[in-house]
Amino acid sequence: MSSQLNQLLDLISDIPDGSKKITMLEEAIRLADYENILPLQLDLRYELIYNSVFYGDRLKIITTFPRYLSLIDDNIDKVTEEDILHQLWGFKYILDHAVDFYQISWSKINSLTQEFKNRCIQYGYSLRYYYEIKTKHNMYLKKIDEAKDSFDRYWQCTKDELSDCDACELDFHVQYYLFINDYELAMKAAKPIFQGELKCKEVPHITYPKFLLYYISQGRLQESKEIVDKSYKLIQNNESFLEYLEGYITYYAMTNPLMGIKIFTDHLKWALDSRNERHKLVFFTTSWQLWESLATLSRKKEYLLSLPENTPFYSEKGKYKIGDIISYCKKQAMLIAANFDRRDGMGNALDYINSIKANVTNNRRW
Amino acid sequence: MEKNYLFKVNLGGMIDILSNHLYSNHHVFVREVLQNCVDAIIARKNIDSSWNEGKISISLIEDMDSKTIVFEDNGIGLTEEEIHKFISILGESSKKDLISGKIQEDFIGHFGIGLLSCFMVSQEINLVTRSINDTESYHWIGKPDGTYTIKNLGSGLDYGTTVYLRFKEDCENYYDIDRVFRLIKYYGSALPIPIYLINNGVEVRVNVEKPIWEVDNSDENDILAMGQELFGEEFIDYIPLESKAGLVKGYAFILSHKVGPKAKKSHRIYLKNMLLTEEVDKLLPEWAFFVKCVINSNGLRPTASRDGFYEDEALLETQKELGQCIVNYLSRIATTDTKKLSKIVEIHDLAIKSLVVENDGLYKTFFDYLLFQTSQGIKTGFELRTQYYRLQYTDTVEKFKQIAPIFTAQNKLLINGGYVYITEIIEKLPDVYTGQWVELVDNSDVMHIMGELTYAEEELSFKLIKVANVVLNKFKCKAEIKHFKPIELPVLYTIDNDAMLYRDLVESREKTKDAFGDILDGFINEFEGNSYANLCFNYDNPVVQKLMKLTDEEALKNYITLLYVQSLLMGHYPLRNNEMQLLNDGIISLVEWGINK
Repeated sequence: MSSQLNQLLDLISDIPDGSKKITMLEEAIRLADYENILPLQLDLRYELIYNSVFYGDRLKIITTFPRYLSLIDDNIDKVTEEDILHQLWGFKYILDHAVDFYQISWSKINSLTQEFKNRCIQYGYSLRYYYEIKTKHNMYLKKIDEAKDSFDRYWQCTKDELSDCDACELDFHVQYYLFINDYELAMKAAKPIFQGELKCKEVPHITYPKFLLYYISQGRLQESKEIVDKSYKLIQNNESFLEYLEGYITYYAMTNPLMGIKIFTDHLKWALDSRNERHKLVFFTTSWQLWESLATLSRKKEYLLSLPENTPFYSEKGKYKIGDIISYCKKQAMLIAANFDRRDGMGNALDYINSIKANVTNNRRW
Repeated sequence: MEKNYLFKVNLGGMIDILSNHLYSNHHVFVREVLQNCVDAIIARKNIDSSWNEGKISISLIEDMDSKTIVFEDNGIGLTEEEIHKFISILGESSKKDLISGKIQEDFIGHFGIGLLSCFMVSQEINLVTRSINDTESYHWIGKPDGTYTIKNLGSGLDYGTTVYLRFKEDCENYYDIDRVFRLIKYYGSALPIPIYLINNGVEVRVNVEKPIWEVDNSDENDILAMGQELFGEEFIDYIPLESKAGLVKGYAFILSHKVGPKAKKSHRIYLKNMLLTEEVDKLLPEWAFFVKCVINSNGLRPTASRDGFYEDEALLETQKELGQCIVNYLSRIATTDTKKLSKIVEIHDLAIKSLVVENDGLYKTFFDYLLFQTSQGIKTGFELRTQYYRLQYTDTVEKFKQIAPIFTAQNKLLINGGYVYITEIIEKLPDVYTGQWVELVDNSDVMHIMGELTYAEEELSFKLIKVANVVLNKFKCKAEIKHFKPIELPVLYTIDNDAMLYRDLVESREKTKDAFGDILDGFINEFEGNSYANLCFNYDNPVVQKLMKLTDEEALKNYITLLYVQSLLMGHYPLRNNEMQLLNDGIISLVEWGINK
């Protein structure tokens, strides 16, 4: 191993997981490939996928996984059982996030899902996660009966090393129960999470926003406020939670648009830098409604804002016309929505935009 | 007809789980028994506040075929009814208030399972006790299969409880007076009740009169010495810690050597003066990995395994308050002892950078002391902000390594922002110091510091660049020519983020099996035609000078491709299939060209 790679590995082992680590891991992978060191090529790729799941925009999962998969498949006689397990976890991560990218067609997502199932059977793992992801995909596509069926099958499978952690599974239950509109069951499922008995890197961070959206859709603003006050701090420093800003921005669009500006300015950079199309759709849709609310509420046409330098309509003086912001957010949201609807063969994304618009318009409290 | 049934519990199995799997190691039995002793003495004192003779004694007994450890307290003791209720029912605790069911605040124990930890080291638990509310005393024997016996020993014994643990064969290594002394000191050195170890009839007090967090901190050498004794290492300084939320008091000792954020933490975390654990998440902020703490909490809730605290609001608030104590200390020495601050920053660079990133208020305090790698050597934050009004930086180490020589040769400053936290720190500079300008270097900036060619020079290089653009187009790379230093460098390959992503996607697609590589196609199509890398020839380089004069176009193409591939190899970019082919073809052609010449 070269001293350069060695030095880089030392640095990587020294720094906490996070977005900066992703860049360093990419550099180390380049060197490991260049020096053709298989164990490192695999371990670094797995670490990159892992960091991208929890700290990045998830594109790196998509771009890294195919090569990771083929490296293992091509060297099946040299890899360890742990590598195989990691490979299946890599499959899980990609299946969990592939829908976020309209560039990946459903036929490809489905063939990946099928391949994951085949490999679970081949290596003797439970199909529990397979049915979990099938349920999630069915929920995404609004296929209620199919979602119920896969959720039932999920329950019939045992837990094993490939299953999500207890906290993440409960969060999935919450997501499902809210999808079938069974608030009581969702609350019951969430109880151990909200009482602090179960937690992980992402839970309760992503569980609160699910309830927040539910409350917003029901016009229950008091409960919404409690969640906003309690949980925004959990997600505000990690850009991998970009999509979960949705409820917070929408809440302020409905109740106090001026307060929402801070969330917009603090996180616009995440959205501009992100390549995760679904997360961007969510951010720009809700931001668009936030600024529309502000335009309705106030006569002020220009705002002094501190926006990132890579803002397409960046102003050195920091003065921004509200119309420019609305127009940019709207354009981004509509463009991305059209791409998703093309991929999905349905009007899901446009429906989403309309539902946010309707929520904000119907529940304004100012 | 519907019938009701009761669950049956495999008591032996439950006890095995609780005693052998709940706790992280065997020697916590010392903590659990000590805790019961302390609580029994506190309970007696609660009844008779004038009584101040609480005492715990520990001894070792060896007979023909066994080795036994004995814990004796003169606390409240248990009646026969209480033995049945509290010792023999899992989950019941004598420390619960009988009416409210709540645990009294001054008790350490909560769960009614602590005594079970003794089954980790002993096949049976013998307990002899006499309650202050009873004239009789009792002998209780508990077994790990869930059975127990009680024998009335009549009157005549003193108040209190004695626990006898006969060591299992594989646990006899605990039968060592030094080891027992160390364990009792480890767990109980801060307990408010005197603890004595009896060895050959001699009583030795194990714990101190006052724990470190109650010692007057006016003499800093004393505190440092206590920290040194506790952790067995020297420290740069100490920081008093206090939190109202968790009723926490203690000290943080600043390590005198570098540690990473992932280094194993070994604090001393006490709960109501009993050592709870060495490592606990969320008690301190993540950036505070450069200190070791000794802390006592009277307000946080322990988990059942006693390896940590519940992550509730109180813990989060405590973390905030303890973090603030460290921040206050650092801010104070920034004005009173800059030498010490420099030393801390020098050793704990990473921790301070992480702190600065998270805490806007501290940016100004620490920025001047931070160290940055640049194209002109290591610079302090102070040097950067006072000697340069425009700071350029890269966001990766690799990019810095590629282009730093160009900046060095032109006597320009370039900061390596590839290391963790540097980019965030640099980007924040203009917000804190007005008039500062910071800029992430991109390809055009690199080109900008290079010298433009004159019209005559452009004419001379026209053919080279024209051929190069034709050759390199299939690699999504554009050719340019400039004057730059060092002149030994014939070409410089630069690539922006989009082009890099495109390159990675194509490379990954080429090296991946068809079945799943095709998930990348949608992305590749999006980038197609939009992302170009750049190969800049150095007009002043002797090889490039010769290439400009080369008339054989085939040879020129070969040289260009070789320079292109060489620049990729220099930058450690893995070669795509067609680039590898290019390298092979180029070498063969050159060999043929040389032979035929």
